[in-house]
Amino acid sequence: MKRTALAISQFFLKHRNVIVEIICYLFIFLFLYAAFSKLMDVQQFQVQMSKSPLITQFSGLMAWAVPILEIIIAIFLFIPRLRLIGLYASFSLMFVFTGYIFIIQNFSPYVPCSCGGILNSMGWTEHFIFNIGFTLLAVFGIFLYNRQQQNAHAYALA
Amino acid sequence: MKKTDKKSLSFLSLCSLGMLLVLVGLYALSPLANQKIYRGSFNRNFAPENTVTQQKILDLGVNSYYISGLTKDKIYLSNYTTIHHLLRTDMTLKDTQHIRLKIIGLDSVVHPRKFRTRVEPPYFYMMHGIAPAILRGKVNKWEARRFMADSAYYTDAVPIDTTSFALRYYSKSQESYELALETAKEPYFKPNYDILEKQMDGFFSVDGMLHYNKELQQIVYLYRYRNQYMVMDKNLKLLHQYNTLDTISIARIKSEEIKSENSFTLTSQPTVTQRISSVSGIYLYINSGLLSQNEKEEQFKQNTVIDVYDLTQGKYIHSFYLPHYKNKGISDFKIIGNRLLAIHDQYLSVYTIATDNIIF
Repeated sequence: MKRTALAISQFFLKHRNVIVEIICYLFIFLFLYAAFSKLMDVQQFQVQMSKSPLITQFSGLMAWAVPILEIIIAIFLFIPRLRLIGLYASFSLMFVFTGYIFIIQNFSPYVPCSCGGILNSMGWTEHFIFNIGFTLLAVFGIFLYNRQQQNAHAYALA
Repeated sequence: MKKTDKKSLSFLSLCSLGMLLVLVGLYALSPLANQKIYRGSFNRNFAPENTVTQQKILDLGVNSYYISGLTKDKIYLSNYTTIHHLLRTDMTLKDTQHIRLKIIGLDSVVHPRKFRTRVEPPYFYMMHGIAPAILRGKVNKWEARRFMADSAYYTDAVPIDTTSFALRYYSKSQESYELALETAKEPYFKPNYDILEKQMDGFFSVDGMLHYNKELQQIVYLYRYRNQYMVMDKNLKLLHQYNTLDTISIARIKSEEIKSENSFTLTSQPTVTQRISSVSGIYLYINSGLLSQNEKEEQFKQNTVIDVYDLTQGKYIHSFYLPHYKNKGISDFKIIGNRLLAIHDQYLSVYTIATDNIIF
């Protein structure tokens, strides 16, 4: 048991650069997908958000702010120099989304829907778990990033 | 632990803290933090205690039942999800029978769950506003089939007699819900645009409940978001227009159009003046969503309030409470004689109304 655990952590350490890369691209994909499915029909998204009791007053602003923020974070994650900031931002955004679902599920008298694309077909509980998963993924990404080889571009040059 | 890890950890906690503040702020600013039940500027006149007493309870197992028929000694329950199923029981709730309804001559329907059943012995009806179809069958045979040229789409239908129905439908020309009469003989379909009055949109502002009162032979339509109900005769001619207790005469709703879907939706939580209702004898029973001046909010939340109106004079008589059962309010209720039937989530209750307490 101990040995497999050790093997797994060694595997992650060995391939940390690739794994950080994969995590970043997963986030980029998620954010771009989410942003564009919202922007495709901003009007509908805005109406849906105004149905949510938590953000009803800010729906006009948020309908644009949320997808734009998602795109900006995706750009940050794409540029190696800004990647760490991007990961912190991803963590924060996923944290807010998760908290939002928690509040809606526990305190709202009715449960509105305001998510786009394929995420629309997910139930709130699945969505909650999905978000927690991505929040933890960001944390994992940050810690692996800390262990990234300083001479990361060395072999690119060689 | 590496030094950078410690730094990351403190940075992550900082992010979490900031985001938590954002969430708390959103919550504090939202209507969730200070949820208030609208308090109208009227008083309720409560009937003496023990006017309505719970007699029997039946566990139905699921919460998707509604009361589809009521006679002196029989209760019929239908299910929103399993449309072929009918449950019959008596007032003692001891003898329950499960009946399977057959639909004949209608192979496939797009949204089968839109079927609504009504049992009015000697017939029962299965109505589907999108198919559209009104099917009829004999009680005891339980086979429903088409019996008239029913081609009008509708959102609500109630049988008036065995060959005519009152409908609420969406009229394209009026851009609003309207009432109509559908009959087996001529004129087949006769709308009356003069009854419902739209304020803002043609959906939510005119939304309401349609009833037929057998004893008075009158059709009743009660708005959901304002204080008005209309009484009509069997031919949909307007007889009276009455007000309920509250003073909301303009629907307090906000609706918006989703242009890409060509649909309307409610955006803020509306003030529901009338939640559910029922007619029996000369009375109209309304479960209101509004608090009165002489009620405690706590009490209001633990009970379902029913206001009783006299349909012949449009007068408010009194109100009574139906306490929540296992913390559940009622989703449907019907009255016959001195018996009141209510569905609390998955439980059916029979109440008796002490008639000597009713002021005539």
